[in-house]
This record gives sequence, C-alpha cells and structure tokens, in this order.
Amino acid sequence: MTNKQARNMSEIGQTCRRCKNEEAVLISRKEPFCGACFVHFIRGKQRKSMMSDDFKVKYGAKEKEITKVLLSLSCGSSSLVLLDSVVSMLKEQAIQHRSRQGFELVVAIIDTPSQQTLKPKEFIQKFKESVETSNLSVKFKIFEMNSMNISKDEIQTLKIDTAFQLDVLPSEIEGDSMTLTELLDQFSSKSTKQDFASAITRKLCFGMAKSLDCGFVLLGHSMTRLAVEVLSLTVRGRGSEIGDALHDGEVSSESGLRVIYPLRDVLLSEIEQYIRVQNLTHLVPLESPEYPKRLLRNSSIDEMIWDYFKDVGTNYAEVVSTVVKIGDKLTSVEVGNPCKICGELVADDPSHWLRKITVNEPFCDETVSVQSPDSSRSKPSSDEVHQTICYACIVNMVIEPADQAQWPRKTSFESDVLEEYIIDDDD
Amino acid sequence: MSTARVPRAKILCELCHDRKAIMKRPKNLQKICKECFYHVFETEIHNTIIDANLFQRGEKVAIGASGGKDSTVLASVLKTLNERYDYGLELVLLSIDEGIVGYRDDSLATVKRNQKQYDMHLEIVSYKDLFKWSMDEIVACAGVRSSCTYCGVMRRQALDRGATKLGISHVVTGHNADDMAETVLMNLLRGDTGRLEKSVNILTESSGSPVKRSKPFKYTYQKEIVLYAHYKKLDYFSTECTYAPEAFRGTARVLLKNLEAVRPSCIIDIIRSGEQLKLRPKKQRMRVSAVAQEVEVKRDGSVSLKPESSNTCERCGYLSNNRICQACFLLEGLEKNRAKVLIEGGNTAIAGAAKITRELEALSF
Repeated sequence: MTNKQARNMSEIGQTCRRCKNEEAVLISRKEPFCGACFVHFIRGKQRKSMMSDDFKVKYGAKEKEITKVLLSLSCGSSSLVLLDSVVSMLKEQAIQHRSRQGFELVVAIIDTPSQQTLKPKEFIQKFKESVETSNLSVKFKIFEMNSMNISKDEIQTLKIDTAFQLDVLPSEIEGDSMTLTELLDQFSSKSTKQDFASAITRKLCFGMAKSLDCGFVLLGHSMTRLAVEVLSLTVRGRGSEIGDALHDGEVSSESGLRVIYPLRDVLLSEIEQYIRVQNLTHLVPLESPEYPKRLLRNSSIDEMIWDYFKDVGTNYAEVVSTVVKIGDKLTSVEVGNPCKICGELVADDPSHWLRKITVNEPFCDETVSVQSPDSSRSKPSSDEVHQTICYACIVNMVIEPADQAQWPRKTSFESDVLEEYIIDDDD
Repeated sequence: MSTARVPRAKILCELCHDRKAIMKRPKNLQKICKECFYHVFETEIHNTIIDANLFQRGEKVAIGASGGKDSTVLASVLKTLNERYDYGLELVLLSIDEGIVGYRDDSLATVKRNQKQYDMHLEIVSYKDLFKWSMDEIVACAGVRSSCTYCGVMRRQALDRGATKLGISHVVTGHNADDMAETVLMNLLRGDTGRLEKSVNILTESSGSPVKRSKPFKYTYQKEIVLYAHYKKLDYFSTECTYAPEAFRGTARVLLKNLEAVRPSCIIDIIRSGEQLKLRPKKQRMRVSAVAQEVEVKRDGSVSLKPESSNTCERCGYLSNNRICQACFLLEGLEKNRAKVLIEGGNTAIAGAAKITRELEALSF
C-alpha cells in the first residue's frame, strides 16, 4: 500500500469536511467528502458554468423567449453525469419557481455503431427509471448514424498528388449511396478513423442543435478529456484548432450557436466517483483500476494519450489542469478557406509547407538514367486548380495505402436534411 | 537437413526506380536507396536553410559540437552544403567541456578527430574555467536531480561566450525534429505560455545579445540522422550523458516515441501544430501611473529592471533581465553549499559516476 493510499484510507474514516456531520466516503482533491456533499460539489461546478440569465427562470416569458439547450449525450460516463446534474438543476428550478423551468432541455444522442454501452433507447429507459424526469420539459432525440444515406451525386473522389495537393474527381462509388459508417470504413488507420469520426460527430451535434432550434450546446467533456483533446489535436497537426475546440462560446459568428463545457473543472476520476455515489453504474460500466494495458501497435493516438494521462496522473496530478488552462488560452484560425474534408478553416497552404520539408525527387547522376516513376499517385500539373485541404487531412490521406477516398461535397450537415433522420424517443 | 535459401526479390527504390532500396525512410516509410536518401536528407536541410534565410555570405558560423551524432552530422552536412551550394561560410567547431569525467572527455576526443576530418578550427570552452565549477562538482554539491537545470543554463552562456571570444555572432546547434516536438509537448504539459509560441522557432535571438542561434535540423528526424551517420561512416560518440534526464521530460519522450511507432509523421505533425499555436491577446489592464508602479521583488531579493535600465548581469556582464543572471544566481546558491574541507578520496561523486562506469567496463575477469 502506498503512502497516498494509506492516507486516503485513514481519512475516509473521518467526517465530511463540508457538512461536518456525515462520514466521509471518498477523498477528492485531498478533501474527505460524504456522498451528498460530493454530488453538491460536482453539481456546483456545472451550475457555475450555467449561471447566466439565459438559464434562469423568466416570469412572464413567452414560449419563444425560453432558451432551448441541447445536451449531447454519448452514453458515456461524463455526459451521463452532466445529464444527471442538469436534470437536478431543472428540478430545483421547478421546486423553487412553482413548476417553471429556466430552459428547455433537449438530449441528443448520436447512435454510432461502435457504441460499446447500452443502445440509446435502452439507455434512456433505464435513465428515466433511475432519475425522475416526467414533470420536466426534457426531450430525448436520437440520430442513428447509419440511417442517413449520402447519395452518389453528393459524393466526390478526393485524391492527394505527389505534391500533397488535393484533386477532386467525380464519385467512384459502386452503389447509389453511402452511409457515414461506410465513409469512415474507407480508412485503415484507427487514428484517421477517429479523427474523421470526431469531426463528423461534432458537426452532426451542431447540425442537430440548429435543426432542433437550440441556441446552446452542452458538451460533457471532463477536464481529463479536454486535456487529451489538447494533446491529441497537437499530435494530429491540428494545433490551430485547439482554441475553438476548448472555448466556451460561439461555434461560429454566423451560426449563433454557443457551446458550453460545464464539466471542464471536473476530473475523470471525480466523474467516476459521482456515478458510484449516485448509483448510476448500471448505465455506464466503469473501468476497473487494474485495466488491461492496450497493445501499443493496436492503439490510436487518442488512446495513447488517455493512457499517458492515466499513468502520469499518479505522480504529476496537476498536469491535466495545466494542459487545459494553456489550451484555453490559445486562439484559432479566424480567416481562411474551409478544408474540403473536415471543414476547418485553412489560413495558409499546408501542401507548400510539406513540399519544402519533404523532398520526393530522386538523386540523379550522369551514370544512371532515372526512370519515370510508376507512382500510383498522379503527378501534379501546374495549370490545375487545387482544392483547399488542411494539414491534418493531407497527413490522414497520405498515410493510407489507398490513394483516394470518397467524401461528401458538403462538410457540414444542413439542418433541414438532418431533420428527417432525427427520431423522438417516443417514436 | 539444410534448406536452400530463397533469394529475396530486389526491391527498387521508390524514388529513382533504378537502384536497390536499402532502407525504409523513418519520416514517411518510403523504401529508398542510399544515394536517394543522401539526396533527400541533404536537400531538405538545404531547403530549410534557404527558406529561413539562415546564413549570410561571408558569415563566420560556430557549430555547437558535442561529439554526438547530431552535431557530428551537422558539421558534415554543413561542410557538404557549404561547398555544394557555395554559401560562402566559414565554419568553426565550438565545444563545451562541462566537466563530466568519463563522458565529456571521451566525446571531446571525438570532436578533436572531427576537427581534423573536416579541417575546421576548434574552440573548447570549459565550465570550470568560466564558472569555476565542473558538472561533477555541481552534482556532488546539488544532487543529480537538478543537474539538467544547471547544465542547461550554463551551456547557453558558455556557447555565447565561446562564440564571442571567436568573434562569431551565429551558433548552429544539432537540435532535431524529435527535440522540437518534445519541446512543444513539454511546453504544453508545463503550461509554459512564455515559451509556447517560440517552441519551434528555427532562429532565436535575444535583444541585446550579440549571438544568435539556429537549428538547421528543425525538420530532420533523429532516426534519419543516425542512419546518415551510419551509412556515411561518420565518427561520433554514442553514449548518453550519465546524469539522468529530468524524470518528467522522460515521460513526454516515451509518449513521443510510442506515438512515432504508430504514426511516423507525428513528429512533423507536432512541429506543424507548434508553428500554429498562438495565444489569445491579453485583455488590456488599466495603466498604472509611473509613480505608483509596483516593483516585483524576486525570491533572491533581486528586482526586475525597468526597460531603460541596462540588461546585463552586474556580476558577469552577461545578458540578463534581472540584476544578476540565472547562471550567477544558481552559482551563488552552490557557493553557499560548497564544502569548505574535502576528505581525500572520500567523495567519489566528484570524480564522476561516468568515470566509475568506464573503469568497471574495462575490468576483465
């Protein structure tokens, strides 16, 4: 038993330092908490980030003036804690203000085939059994990723040439359409798949918010998840996107949509403790402390960084908050053309940058005649007009053995298109 | 029963499609021949130099030479490029003797051989001469944990002073892409806002300093430097410094190596990110009148100087924003703890842990 564990065990026998009444059941940030005080402490963090007038009860307000808030539920531990906390906030408002609510809550679940936990419908049913929501204005909406087919006309072939430039060609798909999962399955690298999947999920989430007429999006990222995001974006060559990915604030000036991360001050370990205290473990299975180590070669970039923070957290606990704080101080590209693949703004020409530092020309001496390369990638031609592509998407494409990919023409999802695929929990 | 070996099919170089590929390029896993490897390796460094406009014709440039693979390859490549592209540079080797017995004395012997091989002038500056302390003495006094802090501060000053002594205003160092990527990660993990935007600058200049430093290997993979040294049969010293690197930096290094194993491009990807990291402009604070302006008193009692004041250390004259420079500040602490009397042969640490390792290696039974 380490000294730290021994100290924790000795402090658990103490009384809670907040209420000074109940027996402490856990230690968080070196402080002994009873269950109720710990839940209050975590919910306090969520309340603090939603303190503005937008979420307060407004007497005499018309239906249109009530804020509509979309909570993106991944059915993972963090978003479950956020949902539980926001529902408790609505309950408190209803009690204090005679059944009035400060805002309408729409819980959106993007059902991806890779989801390991319960299926969304089952999850919602079990949640409703555990947490009373019948007297509140909480709606559950599900978007099944594979229900949406992108027609052949909406798809194009993207190809990177030897000069790292993007050529756009007509679609080469066999059938009439492709699902989002089929789009992602084109890529063999696990990291590339995750990179594109996170971009699609984020855009779907914002698209759903717009189609459901919500002005705010709540994302349940914990502090640990945000720290992983900062390093992961850096490692994937998306350093210029960190500012946008971490800030509470507008998604873009024209969308009018605002994003909030209410659990940005809560560590993943605290999320797990909250779930245990609130008896929600039947909804989200928690990882055992002795989790099996992943094989290095089978890991994606994100998984490696998760493992890094798990390992480093024992000796350098402050690292997670340090990384999130510095990430929050960064700014993103504000002016540029959108990347044809991920839609992020590109301010310079990353292919020029790559050509400068990666020479692809052979050595020529007089004695050897260099044959024309039989490269599968097409040679660049100066008179072609190349499409905008960001650095990270170039890398994602270049490392793939197949030299081209099928991809939708539009990089965002139109709200009217999404509308027909969103289903109510009651449907 | 012996089975006849089936001859392996000859894999052609993916660049020239003529010669036999002998290596998988660490940067992009391209299978290439030796000649094409030399070509792309040297041309990429040349492109980096030209793009950043690093050198001026007729400039005298000091190569920070440790005898290790990076600086040995740097000396070799710069000599080649200087002749091939006619940069018109005068190249000089500048070495620092930190005073680590069994490590630096061996590597300096390599630098001396390099001096003859590349026909360059060599200048050696020692910590003992400059600061009156060798690294072995510092470690014996302050412990091994903070060794990199002392060594880093002192090396920077020693390189500057060595260059100034030779009348040189430009020092090139062998920092490679792996070092750059590690620095970006470390600055994020430490939350170092002061250094974050400058993590990957190829050229660093301090205002008031006569010496600028640059890193021509900014985009060059460490593994490719090793391969270049191997195929060119360069003479280098391959032992790591015996004083362990900082433990936390070690965690970032392991993460980077693991990431590189899965996605080789990640080193360049991190550098690309590092070039794009920009801090949001700070909110303007209300200006305080000059009379009421507060003066920060540091832990050692020194105060930050006003912009119009001299920016040199009052003890050694080296560039400093404070009354005394960082090296003098560290040395002051050491002097207070220096043993007044030494027991003869009692403290083996002063002789250097590396020396003992060397002696043990030489033993035969």
